[in-house]
Amino acid sequence: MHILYIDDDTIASFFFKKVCSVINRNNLVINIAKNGKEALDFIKKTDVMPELLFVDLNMPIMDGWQFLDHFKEINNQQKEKSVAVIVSSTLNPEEIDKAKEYNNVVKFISKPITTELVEDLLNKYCKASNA
Amino acid sequence: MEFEFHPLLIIILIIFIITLLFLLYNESTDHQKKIRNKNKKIKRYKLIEEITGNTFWEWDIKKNHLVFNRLLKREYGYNPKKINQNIEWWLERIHPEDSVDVSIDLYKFVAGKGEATWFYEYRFLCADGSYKHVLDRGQAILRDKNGSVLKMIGTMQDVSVIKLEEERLKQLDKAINQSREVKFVLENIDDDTLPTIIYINDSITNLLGINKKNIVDKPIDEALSDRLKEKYLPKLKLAIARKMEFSFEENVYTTDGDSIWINFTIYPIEISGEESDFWIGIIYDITNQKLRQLENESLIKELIVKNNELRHFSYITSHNLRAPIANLKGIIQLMLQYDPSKEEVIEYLNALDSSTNLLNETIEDLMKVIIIKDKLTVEKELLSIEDIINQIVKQLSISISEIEPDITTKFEVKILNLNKSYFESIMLNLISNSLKYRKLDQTLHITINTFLKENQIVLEFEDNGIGIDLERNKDKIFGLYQKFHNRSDSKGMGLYIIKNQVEAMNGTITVESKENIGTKFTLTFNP
Repeated sequence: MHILYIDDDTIASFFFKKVCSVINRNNLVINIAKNGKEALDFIKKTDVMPELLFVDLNMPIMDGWQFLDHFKEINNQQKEKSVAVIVSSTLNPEEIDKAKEYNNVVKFISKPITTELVEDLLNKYCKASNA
Repeated sequence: MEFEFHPLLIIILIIFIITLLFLLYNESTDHQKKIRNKNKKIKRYKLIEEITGNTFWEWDIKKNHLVFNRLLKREYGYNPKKINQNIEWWLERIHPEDSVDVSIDLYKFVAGKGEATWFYEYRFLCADGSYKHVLDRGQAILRDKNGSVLKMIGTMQDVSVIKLEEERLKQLDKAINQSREVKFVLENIDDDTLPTIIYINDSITNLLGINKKNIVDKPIDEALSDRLKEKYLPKLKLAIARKMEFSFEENVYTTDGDSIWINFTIYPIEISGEESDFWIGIIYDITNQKLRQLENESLIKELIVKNNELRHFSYITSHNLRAPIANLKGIIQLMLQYDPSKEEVIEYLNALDSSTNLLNETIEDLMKVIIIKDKLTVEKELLSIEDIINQIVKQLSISISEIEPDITTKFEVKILNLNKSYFESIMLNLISNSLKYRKLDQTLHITINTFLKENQIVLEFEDNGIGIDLERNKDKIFGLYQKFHNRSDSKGMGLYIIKNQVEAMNGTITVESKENIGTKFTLTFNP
């Protein structure tokens, strides 16, 4: 079970890792990327398609939207099983609306992430790998 | 011999008597006819008097006998039978300013040296002491061998009303000519040409500098400039064909070359409720109005931009305040929910510390921006750019002694009139950025130049740092919370604050940059 957390905020990333560690699930592999470009590079290099992507929006070099656009272009059979969650502190309604244009985005959540939320998402979208 | 009437004689006598009677009868009816005719003539004469309202007179020059008809009473208040019926009476009642000229002209006529008819306009004294304007017209009815007039008749026509009307029209014309608006009248003379300007007031010269003579009696389109014709002629023709009001507002040039805004309007007029061939036109100066309107429009545009900026600012600031708070909230939640080990507590506390520091810095930055945005006018003073750079170098002495940058300056303009704290902050930010985003394997070169160009003070700040990918970040470079590098210590506020400070001092800032080559900022200020 692969999770890719994309955020330039190092404290938020640290916090996310802590949340995952307290959930205490087996086979949970968590990778962190500091921006969209790092995330794309990671996927291309390792050929690992994360089942769950957490994407922050405001990031240097390549922001969350640009990442989602590039992600669409990736050819990978595993991609269909993969879902993305936008994690942001934004209150801008335009951005919340824009998220609806992406088919693979299943949720738009406000920080902070809670353990309940991550567990919910794992239950909903990662059953196959659990079984 | 017996005397007896010869029957023939009797017959002759009878015939004679009959003829005499007949003649007598005839004579009397003829006389009656004549009287009737005379009465008729008098009636007709009176009728003409009534209609024309003119006072008739007859002057026998030899006898110096002047008679007026009864209208003298009605029109001027004198009983024609009770006046001194001579020319002196009449002359005495002519306005002193007119009487000399009138008498000279009249005697010239009487002497036979004038025209066939005599006429003169003068002021005539009425019985009530007022003067009336009179048009007097006379004709000789009897002349002697030399052509001198012996008898003449004439009429006195009261033209006071006409005179008043004339005076009123003159006043009206003056008033119209004094009005600031250009007013003109058009007449549709034939259908092949556009209506002709038959009247235009002097304001056309005052407003546009155009000479009236150049456009009067010409079709309206000939008075328009080529640019206006191209723009409005089809619409003007259509409006005229449909007898509809037509107007436009346009920026035009006077003959002196001044730029003014005018409103041009023409509309058809009705005369006694019926369509006519006349149009009224008005041109007036709307420059002030238009400038105010344009000013308002640009103000509204500016406000919309400002408003959008503020909306953006509030979204971004709320985002950037919420992010560290979310971290604080999340970590505290975790610490409370799950029992952390001693090592974990230290880890958590470090994260909390970083988050609170970030939050604090963010709030401080925002305060700076709000202060810049809040101030409408910035106090300026004369600053030595050299002093300021030296001061900043001192302030950054720790990192500078470590990095050892090569700073070269060339100040053609040494003294700047700017806000001290803003300018210090700008230079500090630029130098700190250069130090922060330098290439680690090369000596950092910073060049700072000032010079005058096109009446503007230009400040160029150039480094050989890692640069920014402008292709990708063109619109964002001076945006709020835009970060271009993965540095945990960058908050993405520096360039935003610089731009706001530069603009608050009515300056501009642009950037050129190439990744791995360097960055050059160009600032311009008014001298």
